[in-house]
Amino acid sequence: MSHIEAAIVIFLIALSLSFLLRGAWKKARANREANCCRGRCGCSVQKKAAAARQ
Amino acid sequence: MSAAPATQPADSGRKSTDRPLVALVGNPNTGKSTLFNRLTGLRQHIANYPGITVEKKSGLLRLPGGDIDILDLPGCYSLTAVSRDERVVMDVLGGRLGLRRPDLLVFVVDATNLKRNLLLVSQCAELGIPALMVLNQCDAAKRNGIRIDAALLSKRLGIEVIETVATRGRGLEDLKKAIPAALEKPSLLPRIEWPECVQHSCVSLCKGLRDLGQGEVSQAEALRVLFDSDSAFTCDVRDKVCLKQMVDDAHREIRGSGLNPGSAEAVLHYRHLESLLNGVIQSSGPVARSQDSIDSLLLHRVWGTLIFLGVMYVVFQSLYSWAGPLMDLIDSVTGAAQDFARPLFGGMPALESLVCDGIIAGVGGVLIFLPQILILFFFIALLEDTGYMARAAFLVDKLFSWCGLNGRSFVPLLSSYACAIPGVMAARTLSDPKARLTTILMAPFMSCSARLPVYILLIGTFIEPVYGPIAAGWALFAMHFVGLALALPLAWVLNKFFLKLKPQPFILEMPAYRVPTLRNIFHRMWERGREFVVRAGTVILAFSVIIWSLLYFPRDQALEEKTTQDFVAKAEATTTPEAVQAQLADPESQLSLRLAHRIESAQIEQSFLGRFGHAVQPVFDPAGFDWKITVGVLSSFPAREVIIATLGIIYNLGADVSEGSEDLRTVLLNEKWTSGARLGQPVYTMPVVIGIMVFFALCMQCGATVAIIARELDWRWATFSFFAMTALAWLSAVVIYQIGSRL
Repeated sequence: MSHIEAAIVIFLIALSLSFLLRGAWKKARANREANCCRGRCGCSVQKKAAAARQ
Repeated sequence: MSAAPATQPADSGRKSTDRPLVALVGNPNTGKSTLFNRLTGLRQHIANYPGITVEKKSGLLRLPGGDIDILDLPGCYSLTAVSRDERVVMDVLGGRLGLRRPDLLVFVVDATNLKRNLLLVSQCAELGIPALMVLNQCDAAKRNGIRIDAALLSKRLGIEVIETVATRGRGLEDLKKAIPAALEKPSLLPRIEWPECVQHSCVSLCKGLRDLGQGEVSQAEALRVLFDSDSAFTCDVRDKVCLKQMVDDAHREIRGSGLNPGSAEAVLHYRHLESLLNGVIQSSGPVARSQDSIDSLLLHRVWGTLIFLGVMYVVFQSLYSWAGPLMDLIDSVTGAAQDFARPLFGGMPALESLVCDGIIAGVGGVLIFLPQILILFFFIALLEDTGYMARAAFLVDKLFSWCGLNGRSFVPLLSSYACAIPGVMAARTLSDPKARLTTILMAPFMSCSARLPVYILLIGTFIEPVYGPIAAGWALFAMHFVGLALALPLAWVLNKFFLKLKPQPFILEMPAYRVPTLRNIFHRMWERGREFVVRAGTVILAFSVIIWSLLYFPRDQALEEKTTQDFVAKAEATTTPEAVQAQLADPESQLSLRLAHRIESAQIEQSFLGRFGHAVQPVFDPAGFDWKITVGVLSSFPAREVIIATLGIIYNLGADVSEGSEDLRTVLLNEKWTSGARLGQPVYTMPVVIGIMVFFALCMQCGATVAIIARELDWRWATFSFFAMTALAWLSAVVIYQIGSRL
């Protein structure tokens, strides 16, 4: 396998992996936001969600 | 009962820079989401039965005078919030959930049932929020002989009343003019004049709640505490004992005045509405309704059930009959794309394999099922729009009641046939927490559209060619009921031994039959089709690249040489070495192609995923799964459709050219065991095929569903659901294989 070919393959694999991990991370974060109390605990997740809504 | 004069609008907390916030409020199935879609241009799911919207949705109404935020709220019959979706309405109207109170309420009212719809309107008058009214489904009211004097109604209510037919887009322009006008010049609904005892109880409750640290409490909130023991407002009160004492005292006072506190609110509101509606509604007597005669047939215990089963069979049979030519077209496009791409990567075999055997084979293998998805959603939208689904809910009430559920669980379970995620969320309409829990746990058993490609692939490959298309249609029909058939006894066990759920009456408002709108049907097909294609182009594509890399690497040079030597030695045993060498010198010769595929097969067996599959295969061996199926099953845990991509990649990489085709179905038919006691026997025998399908029908192979169950319940129930379903799926596949292979 040539260096260029290896670089393209590795790039595509890394891109796919990061896409999947990013999706999983975003889902987990949305889940935490939805499960969080309605602003009563004042945690960072809730504060950021409130800021985003503003 | 006389109406109290309207007072000043309540402060919504709106800043000068904020866009006006308008909320659509009304009873279920009055057309709020249809109106919302028309106003905002969005495409919320709509259907002709109650309980589709279970959470607030927001959109933007663009008007020349400035943009307006529109909120679509779940439907509710009154402000007595019992279920979670009704609580959303209370939270929004009360300015909780991190939102300010709406600046304007647009009451969407079903013109065919005005008086009952106005109970909610009358209750909301207490909130002091400016309002206007949309008299929707005016065409249906006229057909039923109901005439409503909108001008008189507007005069009596003191707010603008707009007549609309949201499904046809009639009256929308008037509404678009009325909304900014109502924001500019707010009008309030007339409040009910409460009897002395209720007013006094409210004052006492306001004072008591203030003493409990609730701050300033409005009369509207005090009324909710007084008449609604589960009020969203009382959730925040910590001293429940003291609160109960105060409410009991207030109820005693009301009882002393000759009123029943349980029914006083509805009775007083309806008396108030009687006076408001006097002369507004003119009915031309009972109209002969064809709906009743259709219902007597569709809701018949025997005929209705037979028609329901017949309709379902026609749906699944059509998936086969109609999709074939389109599937062949997509298949040939995929093949052409591979043929086109291969020469572009001359001298770069790994990249060529990644693009052709990984991406195109993986994504194309999934995309081929797009026609079936579109046909399925065409039928679902058609049945929902006509109002038949509500009848189906009524029919299955008996089926559900023995296991502790009722027809109300039907809507979430039905939604799960499209996707478990909206199904789990639709369970919010269930007021009983135990019934809701059971419904959520049962929802993933329903055969979602992601399972469809697996069924179609296996039924189309192994059942249709042998038993014909009618048997294939029945098999597909049966696969969609396997989950339900197991879910109901499981629900019974759960309720009998753990939850001890009491039987509940099932009350569902039967929607009127409507002619389906093409716009809605095609929106639904477009939305689901788009979602499927986007998923294939994103998640499935990314998984295809990862799975390809795990099947392609590591490449073992020594293995390649050894495989070549063995192959050449075998070939030379049947012919002369010179002839073998001459054939191998030609890369297009049959012998060269067979050698190349033999090397690929050997390479993927020792690849990362190949080794992993071999290591885990003993777990699935009792179900008759070889290492390739094992890899497919394991890779599909994040999303079911990935198995198609995985099998496509495995067999595309290692298919034997002598089989004459790279089509996945042909390869599956010819796949044989390469080692062990079953050496040389076909892998995909009928018990294995049925076992795989049942495994997919019962297994929780959807990361998104696990996450949504965790959100709606908690992580413990999500974990329980995942392990219980997976264990049940494995056990069922093992039982089917063990029994089936002995017959």
